[in-house]
Amino acid sequence: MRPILVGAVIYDPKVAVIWDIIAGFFGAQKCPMDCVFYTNYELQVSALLAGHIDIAWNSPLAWVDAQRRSGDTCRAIAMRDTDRDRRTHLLVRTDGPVRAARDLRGRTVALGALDSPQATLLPLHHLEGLGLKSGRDFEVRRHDVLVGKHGDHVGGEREALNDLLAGTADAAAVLDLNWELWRSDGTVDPSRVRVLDTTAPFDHCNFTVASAFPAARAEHWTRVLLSMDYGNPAHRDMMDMEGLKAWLHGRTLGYAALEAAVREQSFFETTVG
Amino acid sequence: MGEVPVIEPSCEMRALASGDGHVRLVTRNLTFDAERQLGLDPGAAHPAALDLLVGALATDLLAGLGREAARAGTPLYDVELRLEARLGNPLVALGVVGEVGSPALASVQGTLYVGGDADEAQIHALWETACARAPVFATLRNTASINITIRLVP
Repeated sequence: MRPILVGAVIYDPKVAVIWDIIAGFFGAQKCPMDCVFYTNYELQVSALLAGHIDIAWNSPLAWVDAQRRSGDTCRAIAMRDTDRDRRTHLLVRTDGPVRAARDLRGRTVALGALDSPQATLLPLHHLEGLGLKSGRDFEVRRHDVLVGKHGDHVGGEREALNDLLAGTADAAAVLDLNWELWRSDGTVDPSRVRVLDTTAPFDHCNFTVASAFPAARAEHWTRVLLSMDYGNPAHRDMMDMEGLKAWLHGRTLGYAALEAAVREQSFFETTVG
Repeated sequence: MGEVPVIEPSCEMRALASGDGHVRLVTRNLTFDAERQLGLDPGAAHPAALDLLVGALATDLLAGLGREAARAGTPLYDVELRLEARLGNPLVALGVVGEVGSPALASVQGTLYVGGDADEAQIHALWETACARAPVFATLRNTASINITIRLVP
């Protein structure tokens, strides 16, 4: 039987090493897999739906796109523990004039790349829910770093934070994990920046299969993936590189807000060729 | 009219693929292993093709410099060459679908550390001669920017 082909979007050659390790693990478990790399998620979703690959490591926006283009027939088979219940924080300066979300009216909000769920689409959706619409109630300073990679690269969020610190924006949207990291590593002084507001929880990446992929093969592959054990030193390095302590079964309830956001912002109608 | 002289091969090699990108190389009485095109894994067991290419350049230059120094009766000490090679787009070399650009070697930057009894001008002259006679260097400089600076070790 041919190896299961898993697609991944990469922007840094070093990321290929992680996938080599994962492929090696699967090979050792008698479940051979090979990786195919893509430069952006649009290409990867096309490849998945065309059957060129069996499984796609999809961003949340790529998942929504795959469902949109397949008529909701794809399945999310696995995800990291850290993909569940993420949040985006809207950060403000502690010495700034913004005390509540309503104070953003007439001000500037720094965001990440136009296709970043966590740093653009979801925070805009959140603010819309508070009655604040971009372009009408506040201005946006967007940082389109590596568009097509759905905010995988942290650069857009870093630039948004820099805007906030430099005073060229009054708020910045960043993923909760990045906020925690930057507070702990000294990138940002917690006495200068605070969380103004936080989105509802959402889910991040997942391994997606198309309907044509045999269920038995998907189940076998998922079973092997979930057998990775953080307590096993041989597995831990890779799991640390991918930022997880356990692989979990996929779930799709955490993408509702993003689905609403792309509808509200006409994302696919305005940004996809 | 004499016959055009036949140029004998200067290197003959057999390369045996054994799967997973692993290759066994055999030349003369030597057998060695390599794997993959780019060396990204810090725990790799064997050099990658790019490691071998850059290693070939370094060996070419240092062996040539040593020969020229010996012929000139100028002993050199503490000779070390550090190189950084960059590809046009390494993601193309990794086969990333949709990436554009060249996988070719674009540039090599490096520093040659060298000590000895010779003065700076003599060492530079030896280096120039070594570079002019180095087959790997002469080949790569046609396609890549190679910039190596010399630092004298006291």
